[in-house]
Amino acid sequence: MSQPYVRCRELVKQYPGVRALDGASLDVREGEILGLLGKNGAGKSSVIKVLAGLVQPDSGTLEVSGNLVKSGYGPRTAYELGLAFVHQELNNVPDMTVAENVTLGTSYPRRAGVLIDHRRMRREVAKLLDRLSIDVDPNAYVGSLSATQQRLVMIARALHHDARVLVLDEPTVSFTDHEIQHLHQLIRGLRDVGHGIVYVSHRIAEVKALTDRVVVMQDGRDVCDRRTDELDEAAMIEAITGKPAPISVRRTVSALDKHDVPVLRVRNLNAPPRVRDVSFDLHAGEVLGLVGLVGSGRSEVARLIFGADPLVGGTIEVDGKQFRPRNPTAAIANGIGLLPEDRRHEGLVANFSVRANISLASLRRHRWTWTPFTRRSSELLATSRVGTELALKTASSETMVGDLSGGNQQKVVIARWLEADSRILIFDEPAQGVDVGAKEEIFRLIERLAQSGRAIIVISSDFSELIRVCTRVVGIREGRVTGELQLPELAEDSLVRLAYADDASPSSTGRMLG
Amino acid sequence: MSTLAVDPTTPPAVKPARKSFGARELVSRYGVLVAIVLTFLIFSLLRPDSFLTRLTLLGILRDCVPLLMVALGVTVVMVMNQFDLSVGGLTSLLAVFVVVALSSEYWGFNYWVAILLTLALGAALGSLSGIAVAYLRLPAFILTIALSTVYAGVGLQLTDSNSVFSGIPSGFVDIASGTLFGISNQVYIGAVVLALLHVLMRHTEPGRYMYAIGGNVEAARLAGVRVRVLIASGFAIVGLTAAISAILLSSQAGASNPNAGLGQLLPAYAAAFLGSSLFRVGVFTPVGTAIGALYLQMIGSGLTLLNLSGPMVSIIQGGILVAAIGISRLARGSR
Repeated sequence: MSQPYVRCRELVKQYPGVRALDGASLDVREGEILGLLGKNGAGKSSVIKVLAGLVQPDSGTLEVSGNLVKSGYGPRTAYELGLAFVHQELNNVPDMTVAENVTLGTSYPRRAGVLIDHRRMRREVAKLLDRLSIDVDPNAYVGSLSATQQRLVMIARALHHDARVLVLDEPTVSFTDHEIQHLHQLIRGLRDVGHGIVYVSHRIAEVKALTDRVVVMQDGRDVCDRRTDELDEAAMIEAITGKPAPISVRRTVSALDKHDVPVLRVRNLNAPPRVRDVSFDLHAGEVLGLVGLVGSGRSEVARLIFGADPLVGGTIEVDGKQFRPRNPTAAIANGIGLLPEDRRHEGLVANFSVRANISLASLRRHRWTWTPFTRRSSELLATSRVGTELALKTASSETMVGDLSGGNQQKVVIARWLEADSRILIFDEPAQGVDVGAKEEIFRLIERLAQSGRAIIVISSDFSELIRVCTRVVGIREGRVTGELQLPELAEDSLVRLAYADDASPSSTGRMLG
Repeated sequence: MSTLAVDPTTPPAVKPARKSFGARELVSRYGVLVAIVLTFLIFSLLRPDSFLTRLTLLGILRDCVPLLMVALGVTVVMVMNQFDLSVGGLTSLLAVFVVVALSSEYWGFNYWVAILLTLALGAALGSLSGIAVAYLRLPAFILTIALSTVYAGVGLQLTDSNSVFSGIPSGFVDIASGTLFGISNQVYIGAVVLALLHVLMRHTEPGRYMYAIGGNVEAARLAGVRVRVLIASGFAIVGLTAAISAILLSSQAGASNPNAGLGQLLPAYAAAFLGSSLFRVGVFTPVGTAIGALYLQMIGSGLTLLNLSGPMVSIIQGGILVAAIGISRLARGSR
């Protein structure tokens, strides 16, 4: 077997509170397609960021083309060493043509050393697209292309400069089966002429069908490095999830009468392409989990219910009454609160005090009667009351919220919704960026809120978190409901099936794979 | 003082700001205050007989009011991270409009009616750009520049580019020129508007929401804040303050000047930026803006006493704006 073109050994990367990489090793060979698997947060993207020179590891070595990489390795060096990356996000310039995008950042063909030779550029790009059998007009503006075509353009761009190794991060998101086949054919062709490919995907069937070798990551480490034909899909799932995590104590579903009118009833929610025909019920006292991969549409469902994004079709009922969420203001008035996934950018006003952040959704209560003037004393009282209830730790109520720890910031957002009398609380990744102790505290808080009669939706990429806190889970994949699981059935492998389920037809339980 | 659950055993997650004061922090924190004191001292030393007099100092207070009005309006939209660059042209237009409305040579309205019409027109035109920015999502920057030239043009057109001197009742002129207890009426008007905006921004629900929009527009929206209504209202307030400024300018001059407002755009923003580096760094406040406007007026009057030329004054004022922006940037960086 040939010498690996890229060789990572024992990479370690520590972030505050998280060990993103914990001794990860990985070889990438020319003429081979390597599948990289792992749960969200297992360290796949961290490894890729190290390869791309976007992140410096704390320790460990990286060899490219037989040479040990020194400090000062950055995106430019990675590029010069023949590594090319197609990231999940479509980062191209919509107002430039395909040809201009493909050649962007590489040296343009020139005339007289200065002027860009557009004609030659177009010819070269047309030839490249042709060789890759990508059917796109080099003169088309990239903004006018479909997401699939744009991704192909990005692959062409990565290959325009003669890359030895091409890293594709979730390249088939939003692809149809036919488009996937086409892309796979293209990738195999690249392998056959000697390129090395790293194929990162959540779709196990694709990895099984396409790759030559599979590396599975777990908790920042590579836990499995095998030839693809030695593994079946079930074995891959097992390697991804590892041993089922010990389920912690708890489990009292408060008396839940299914004949009650649900607090929230969602029917055929539609906002294509991200959300299609999503229906579910939510009862008081319940903690409902939405399980799905990043990009599955689970957060979009939450945002639709909250009125943060425009709803295309479907009905929502709150306490049996029709409710059309035109904007967040209307949703809040109907007792719905959203704790957004991106707390810093969507949840908190960083240069506001703890007090002002908490009262932001309920400020009208803190007015002097019949006037628009706010009453600070009333705000302070409320802050102190809800702060004590949630065991919020802050130097004072006037501390800037940006100075709090992640767990306490999360509590500030929760406090805001409690103050606004929200009865339906949607937690999008409540434990993200929160350390372990605070995590458990937030879960206990969620349970307490449910016991007090509120209805709760929790969204998380971490299956063990959902198992820890939910009484029921609905699976979402590619914007559709894949199935539903009740409390006794909640286990890591059943959730994996719900999230990865290849058949998106609704069923009462997750379907078995393979 | 803490009323919240504070656990004495765990230190706060993030340490409070560094105790040691670097030069950078010193400049960003107290730079503007030091500059104000220094400038005052310099003028006092160079022109002790003419600068340090009741007449000059009260004059500074009076002359800064038209600028202050515009600067206060600008402050409200800047709190929301928005810009309104149409204030120059708008003030010019309204300054002509009020005279045309009340002059017996033109429409000849009672001057109180003319004033009300001017205020209404200012608010309406301000709302118009507000609606265009908030609801139609037009880029505020280029839109308001374009509108400024439109307004300035309409202002010139109203009087065929002439200044109107005649047919102006003395009652109107007295508004800006009159005094109460030896202090110009303008000072009282300025103080009232300043107080109103201070209360609005600091002690009311809409004011709080405006700061939230400036702090994090998406978080504000997701907390139920009606972002678009508030942004549009902010532009309406700019229109109102431009109208007040225009009325004062015309009343003071006893004539219409179609270029009255054009020179106010830059100083208005300079005042707001200077003010934003005064208290909590990077936060625009009406009171801060008022201090900034006073400072600029003090420099203007002081330089006149030193017999410096007009171009010299504009060089120095422009330089001050650059310095103010630099200071507030520096201050934000150190947070």
